[in-house]
Amino acid sequence: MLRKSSVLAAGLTMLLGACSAAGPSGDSSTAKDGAVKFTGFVGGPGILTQTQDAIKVFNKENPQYQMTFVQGQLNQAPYQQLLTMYASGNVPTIFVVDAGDVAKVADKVVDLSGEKWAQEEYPWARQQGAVDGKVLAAPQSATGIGLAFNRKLVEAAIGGAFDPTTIKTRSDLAALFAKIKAAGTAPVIVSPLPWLLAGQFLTKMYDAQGDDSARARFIAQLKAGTADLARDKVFNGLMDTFDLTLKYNLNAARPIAGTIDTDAKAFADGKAAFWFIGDYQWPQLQALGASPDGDGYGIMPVPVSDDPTDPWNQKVVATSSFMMAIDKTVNTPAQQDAAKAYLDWYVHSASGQDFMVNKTGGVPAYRNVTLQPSNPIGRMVAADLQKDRTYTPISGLPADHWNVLGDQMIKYMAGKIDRAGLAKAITAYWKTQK
Amino acid sequence: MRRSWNNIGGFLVFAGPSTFAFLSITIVSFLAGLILTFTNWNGLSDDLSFVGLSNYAVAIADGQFWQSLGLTALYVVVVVVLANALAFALAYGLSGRIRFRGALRAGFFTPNLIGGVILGFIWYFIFSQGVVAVGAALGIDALATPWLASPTLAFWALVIATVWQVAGFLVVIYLAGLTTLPRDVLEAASIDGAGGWAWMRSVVLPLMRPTFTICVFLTIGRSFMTYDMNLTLTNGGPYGSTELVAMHVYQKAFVSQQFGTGQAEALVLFLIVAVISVLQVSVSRRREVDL
Repeated sequence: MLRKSSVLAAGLTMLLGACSAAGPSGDSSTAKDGAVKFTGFVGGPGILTQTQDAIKVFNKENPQYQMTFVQGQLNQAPYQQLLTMYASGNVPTIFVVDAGDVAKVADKVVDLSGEKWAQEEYPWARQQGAVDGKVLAAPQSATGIGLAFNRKLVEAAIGGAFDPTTIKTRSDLAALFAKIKAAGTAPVIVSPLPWLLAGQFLTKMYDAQGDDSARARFIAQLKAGTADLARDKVFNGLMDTFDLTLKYNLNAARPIAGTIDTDAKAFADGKAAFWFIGDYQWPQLQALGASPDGDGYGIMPVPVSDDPTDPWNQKVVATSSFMMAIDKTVNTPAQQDAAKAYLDWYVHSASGQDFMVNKTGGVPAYRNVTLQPSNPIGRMVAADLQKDRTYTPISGLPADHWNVLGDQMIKYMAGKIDRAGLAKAITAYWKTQK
Repeated sequence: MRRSWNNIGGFLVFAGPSTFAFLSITIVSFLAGLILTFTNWNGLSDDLSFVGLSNYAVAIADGQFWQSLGLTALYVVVVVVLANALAFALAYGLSGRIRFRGALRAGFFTPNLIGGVILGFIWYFIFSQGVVAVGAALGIDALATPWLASPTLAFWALVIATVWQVAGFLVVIYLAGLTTLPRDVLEAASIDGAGGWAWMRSVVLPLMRPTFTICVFLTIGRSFMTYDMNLTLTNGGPYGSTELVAMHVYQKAFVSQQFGTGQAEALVLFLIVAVISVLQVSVSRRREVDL
């Protein structure tokens, strides 16, 4: 009997041991040497090794802190991953979210309004990271979205220097595409990707309605079912441009066959002169052989009308690639301070800026960072930012907007629905939103 | 009294850990999920309120859910039939005295050791680039069309990749079934002159019914819940046409951030799969041969 009960006791001890090991682990926020340990979920796909290297540098330069990198999953939005992290109580001290998701974590993160870097942000970046006037998140970098172009191909077609600001209308773009096609090159690539089409292209139908209040009014009309897309000037203008790009699409024969990889390769190989994308895609283009030197690549706005004075034809989208926020629910105040020190290092130190701009190809979202982006598309976005030739996209779209309407855009590309059908799908989607 | 305490002690030692794991991982999460279906939780917020049965009403009115359930039913039927037929044929072939038998057995089982996510990526490259490159090089237009860009072909791509993965696992079970067939019955049948198709149809297949019951049961459950391969191979595309029901439920909860509705749909799915599995097992059991 004694033996049996000792086996029983041993079994129970092991079981309880397993339980306690799975639970929150005591005072683990301090290392043996007294350094504050904290975790960072701060690097997306494509910049994993760069981020790991940067964290090593941060730890070396700041021995009072010990930051550990938390690697996320490749094809899941950071917010989705945060849901599981919060559900398990295992939340990184500092984490990234998309700008549109900052408001959703507002009651879980630290108010960063008083930080030194917050005074250096571009106003639009500050606005993207702020909720109710409080700065809750810091932009990792800025990113520009529009028609990326291969200067060599465009100049070969027009027989001279190319100045993207001369393309002021859709007709200008159509004439340019025709010339490029006549020169024997595919004018443009349209990638059949939901996040790109509905998350970054279609959004211009909300953006170009006007300022924040005009955008809000339009969204309210869509939700109420009173917006008439068939007569909406912006929607039709944007779709006319979309039709133009589809007509001149490299993959026109198989419009929905492309993937991000095949299209990036085609663009890097010089198979097409334009590609609707953002400068965030540069690391992949460079890996595929596109040269970062000189001004071989650039980016320009998507025109939405034939009015040469239309400001929406002259500005590219500039937005934050990711926003970084600091958790206050499970991380100790010492850990929160350590994460604040990381942000300070990121924006104000030479090695932080080197990581932000040179290592990851980012465009600074902070005025104090004077380093030039390491890639030509980024340099163009940085110049546009300084010249105020950018606009900030609408925020607060429903979480599944890109997914649901992205599928509809791809159906449109495949010819399964026409413009009226797309308008109907968009209207139907918005009516279900509260 | 003492004896019953001993029994409890024995139970705790041997079955305690797994009972604890079952309760904490399966039952608790199942109940938590059930409660979630009556709330409007967004997945992160501290506030949630009870909304009665409205999530079920939304789930039942969700046309996309029923559409993906229909697609999943078709997928399950096709996968169950093809995977079991292929696995049985392979196992039957491998049970004889052939060269490289061990290597072949290991080879067919290998896909099952690779996770569904990785397999999905591998087949993604095969269908989106490999087959296309071969088709373009040989000038065969049917192959040069990327499968994943067509709703019908993308569905079959999903079926092919799943069958390839599942069949390897089923081969092992069928092999085990074939090796345990009673020798005396087989010998008696061969003395009676059974051979060829009659041997297979009247002797082997009836004796293998218990194995079929297990394999079909496993395949039904597994293919109804397919998510990983669906995610990495087609990602529901093109335009949502290959979104199986497990993926739809996940998207509802995590992408649309409607946890209550997603969970209600998951519960409906659970009930459907449970009913089908119980029916399948009870019907198959009745047809098994008792020796």
